[in-house]
Amino acid sequence: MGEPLTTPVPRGGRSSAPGWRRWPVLRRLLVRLAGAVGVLWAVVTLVFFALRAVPGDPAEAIMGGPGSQASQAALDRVREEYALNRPLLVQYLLQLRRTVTGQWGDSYSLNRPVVSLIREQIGGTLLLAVLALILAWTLALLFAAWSVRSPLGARLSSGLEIAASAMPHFWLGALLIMVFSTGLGWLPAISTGSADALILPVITLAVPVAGFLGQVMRESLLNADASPFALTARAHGLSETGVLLRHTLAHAALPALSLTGWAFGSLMSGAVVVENVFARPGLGRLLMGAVLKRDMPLVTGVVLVIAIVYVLVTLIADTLEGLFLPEAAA
Amino acid sequence: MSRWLTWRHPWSRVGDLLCVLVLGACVLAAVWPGVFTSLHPLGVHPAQAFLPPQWGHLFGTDESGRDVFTRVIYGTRTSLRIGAVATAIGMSLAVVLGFVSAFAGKVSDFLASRLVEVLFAFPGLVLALLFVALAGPGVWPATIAVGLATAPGYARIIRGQALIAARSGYARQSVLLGQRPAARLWHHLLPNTLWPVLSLVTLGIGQAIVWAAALSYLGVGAVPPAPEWGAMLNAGRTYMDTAWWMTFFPGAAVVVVAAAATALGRSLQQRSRK
Repeated sequence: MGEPLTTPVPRGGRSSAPGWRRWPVLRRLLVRLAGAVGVLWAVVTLVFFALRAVPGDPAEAIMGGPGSQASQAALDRVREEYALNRPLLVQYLLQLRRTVTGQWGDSYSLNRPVVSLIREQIGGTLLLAVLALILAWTLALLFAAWSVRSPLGARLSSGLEIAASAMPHFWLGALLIMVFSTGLGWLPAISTGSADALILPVITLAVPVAGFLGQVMRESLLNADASPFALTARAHGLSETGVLLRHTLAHAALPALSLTGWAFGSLMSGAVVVENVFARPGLGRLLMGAVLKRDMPLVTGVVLVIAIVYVLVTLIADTLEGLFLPEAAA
Repeated sequence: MSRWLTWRHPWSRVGDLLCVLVLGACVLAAVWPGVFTSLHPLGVHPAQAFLPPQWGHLFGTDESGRDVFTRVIYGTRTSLRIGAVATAIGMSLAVVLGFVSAFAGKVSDFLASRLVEVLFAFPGLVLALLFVALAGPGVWPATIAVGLATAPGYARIIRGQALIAARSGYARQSVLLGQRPAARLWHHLLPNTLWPVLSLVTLGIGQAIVWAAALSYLGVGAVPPAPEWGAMLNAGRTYMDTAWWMTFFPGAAVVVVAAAATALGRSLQQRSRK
């Protein structure tokens, strides 16, 4: 299960300031950086106004939704902290200040500061996502290379990619547990803290993304393989593997690189499900617990962190793309 | 319409036919579940709990002795409805955003594009969960949440298609002929923008079904006794060691429907490109 199929649209460079023309990569980075700050501001704003739009007492909306079970003292503390008796604009500006200065409030269901909860849990999720991204890239490249080498490979891998991208994490994870944990007893079904407990979650998370990346990479690799420069390389006597490694692979990898931001976002969303399937601690489980309790400070905090991670990864992928392919940025 | 009849590789036609058959069977199961099963999806028979798949109980029975096959069949209705309604919500939002972007001037384009960019910063399921946290759990909030989460992706594509239509020869011709903007929008731009997007709808319904099942699996969508695929999977995880069929079959239903919708959508997309 991944993000919608509609998302993979590689982005090109945007507005051109004449003075920066000689530094396309730097200009691109600055434009992107400004865009990233804008996105984060908008995220905070959107969440703030959505919360105030919930009918009823905003203090209850923040702590467990309408009809909240929170104590009167806790509600009063929230009213104080969020300045709920002040005008909306003042509340909003205070919210912005608190967000920037890292005062993200306390989780009411866990009775702990949101920031320290997130700090504890983010490592596990990032490790899971990065490993899954590496595996997804590897799988996608292997399938792409296989489809170039044989027509049967092309047909099979195109079918496998569709199946992989339609595969929901919750089912794939359950199947892997049934086969490799309860069936064969090779790997632990739930998180034990050891490295082998990571294998099944990483595979579960990687497969759907690999399906999407594979579709994009296969297309660009096939195009590159049919291009004149590949023919020239072959005419010079380069072996098929040589053509792949030295020429066409880079062309296949580039569009996939520009999708890395999207892929990472998809992995973060998948992590919510995967961490629940394998009972792994992490941001996803933290978020899920908070959503079930309607613990808004914690929900907002985790969502904001996920948005920050997405924006940062997109920024990095974009900069790399600009470095490798300056004409896309110019 | 002649392009629908042009010759293609026979394998892909067989594949398309298979997808259409699968989806047709799903629609039939959703509209008229009695065709496939005579049992009741909520019929409890404690004496027949945890029966493995066998004749009479093709997919086995669950912890209360309810027939899993019957529940999967009845679950089709919920899943298809969520998929279709969520996609309709996502598409309507996307058409508004995309058209505002493409036709309402530079300022609106800037604002709408930034809004889409902001929505993109929330990975789909996370956006859906944020909405559920605000609106509370349930089938309808989950449906709307999935619709909202799919909207930004559609909006980006519709904007692109709308811009292509706006710059096309027939749109300029309509301007030259002095047609009113509203008529131009209705008769030329809207159909020419939405027709290529039709394949996306097929793709989107498959995706929406998977996401809705994920929300139910996570416990914020349909509630367990209801026959819904995600909720059934969630109930099955407790018995995964002993009753694999309770997890396997509802999940397989999700995969088969999602894969059929995806493959058909992909095939439609390739045809519309030609």
